[in-house]
Amino acid sequence: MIDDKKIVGLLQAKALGCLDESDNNELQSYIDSGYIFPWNELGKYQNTASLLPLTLQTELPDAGLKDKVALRLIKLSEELKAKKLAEEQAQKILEPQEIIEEEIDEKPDEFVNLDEPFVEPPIEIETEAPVTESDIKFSEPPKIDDPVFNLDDIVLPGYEEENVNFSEPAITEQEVQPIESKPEDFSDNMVLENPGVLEAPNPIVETDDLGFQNDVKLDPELPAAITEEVKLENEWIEPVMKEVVPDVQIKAEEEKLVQEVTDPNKPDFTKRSVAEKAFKTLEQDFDMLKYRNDETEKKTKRNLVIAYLVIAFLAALLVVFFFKFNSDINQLQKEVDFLKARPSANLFQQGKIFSKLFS
Amino acid sequence: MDSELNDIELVQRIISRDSKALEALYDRYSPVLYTLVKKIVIDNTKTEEILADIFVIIWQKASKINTASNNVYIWLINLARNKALDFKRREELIISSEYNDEYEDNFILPQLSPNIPAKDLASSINNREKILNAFNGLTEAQQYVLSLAYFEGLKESEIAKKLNIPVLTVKSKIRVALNSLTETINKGEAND
Repeated sequence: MIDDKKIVGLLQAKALGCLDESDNNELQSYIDSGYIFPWNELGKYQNTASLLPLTLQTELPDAGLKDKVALRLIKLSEELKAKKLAEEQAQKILEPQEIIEEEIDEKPDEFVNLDEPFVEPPIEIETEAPVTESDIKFSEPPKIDDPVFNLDDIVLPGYEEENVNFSEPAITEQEVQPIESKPEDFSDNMVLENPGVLEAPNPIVETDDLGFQNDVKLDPELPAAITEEVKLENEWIEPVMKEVVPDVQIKAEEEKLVQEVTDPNKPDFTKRSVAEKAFKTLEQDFDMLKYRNDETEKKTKRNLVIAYLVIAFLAALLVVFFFKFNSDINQLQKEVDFLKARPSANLFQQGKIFSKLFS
Repeated sequence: MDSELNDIELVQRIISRDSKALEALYDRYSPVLYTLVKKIVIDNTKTEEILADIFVIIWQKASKINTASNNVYIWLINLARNKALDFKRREELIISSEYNDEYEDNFILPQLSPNIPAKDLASSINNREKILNAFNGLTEAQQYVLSLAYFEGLKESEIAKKLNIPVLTVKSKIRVALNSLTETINKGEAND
């Protein structure tokens, strides 16, 4: 049993951060044991302790420190980017191997924990329901030779309403026969009795009241070869159409689905997109800081150049004036010497004396 | 950035990755944090390095600030003190454990009482005169012990050893000094 008074006596030291290890442990065990802890008292002392720095004479940091901080943040963001890229690459390498080993209905680890630390900036995305293990279905097992785990293979719950069936057999090159290949078969199998008569059949076109064409019917009077040709044409076109049209429809549906999945207006719930958004935001911030820093540097350089030019100009001016004054002084000195050397100089001095006497 | 935004608003913007808000917070808090850190580590270059570290931590972990209790000032002061003391202790080889994210969360980020009264920089600076008077009202011994504990980061037993006095005396001085300081400051604020 810990004495309450003793605990209260420890609060001041706790607030100042100078509590000895043993006392600190005692205080912690008191808190952990569930006794009513005087948080208000502790808060009050912490409040007072935080005012102690204001008793110091305030000093200002160097003006360049702000830029240093900005640079540190830019470096940090670049490191994060590099780390993220490395992680992604490592995932890309590892994922296909893991998927081969796992069964199809097993959930991928990527979607198990959405609270991974690198999704640091909390970006709020409105989701209707969280993606759970049961919601994630795979359309088909990934191919062994597929080097990248394709996120598009996963049907997210929001897209199930579209009734797009991924379980349809994938279209292979063998199944889709090119239309051009059929006439070859046709020509091989066809026996023409009179090739010279083979001209385009003259179909009887029935039109409805509005003038639209109805089904084309063959003229019963046409030669048998031509009739047979048209019949054969119908025979191979129809099955090919029957075969190709559904495939084309499937393809179109798939393209439509891909478009819907990649539709920027639809919210993307994948972790990758959330991380990308987060890093995009971070990138924008630091790009801005970087830009500002570059601008400041440019400005400083420009000012330095101007300062150098002004100093150079002033120095040149100083030199010019020095030589000019020097030559002026020399010239004046010469004039003085010349005047002193003249015989009238003595008279002038005497005149001054006389003038003083008479004045 | 609008300098009229209060601390909480700035922190909220920092959490949503607004670098201008961090700049505004830097402009507001760098003098007081710089003064505190320099008092602890003395050296100018090291002080700048630590201050840069502090703002990186703020950028990364601003979400840990309890904005509901409106005590950004106290959180930042404690963060700066913890960081500077940690730097000093590592230089003096008192601490040798690895500095990582977990360590930072446990030992550098402030562990404040959930019921701490609200305090902001502007009101604290306005009351600076009163705080100084209250501090100067303490005895020299009390001031010295408080200074050793807060700015030097010495534990009670270390202070006792340094001053060659019993630990109980140190405890008593700290208790009386902080109680007196709290009462005087609170009285001054109540009179306002």
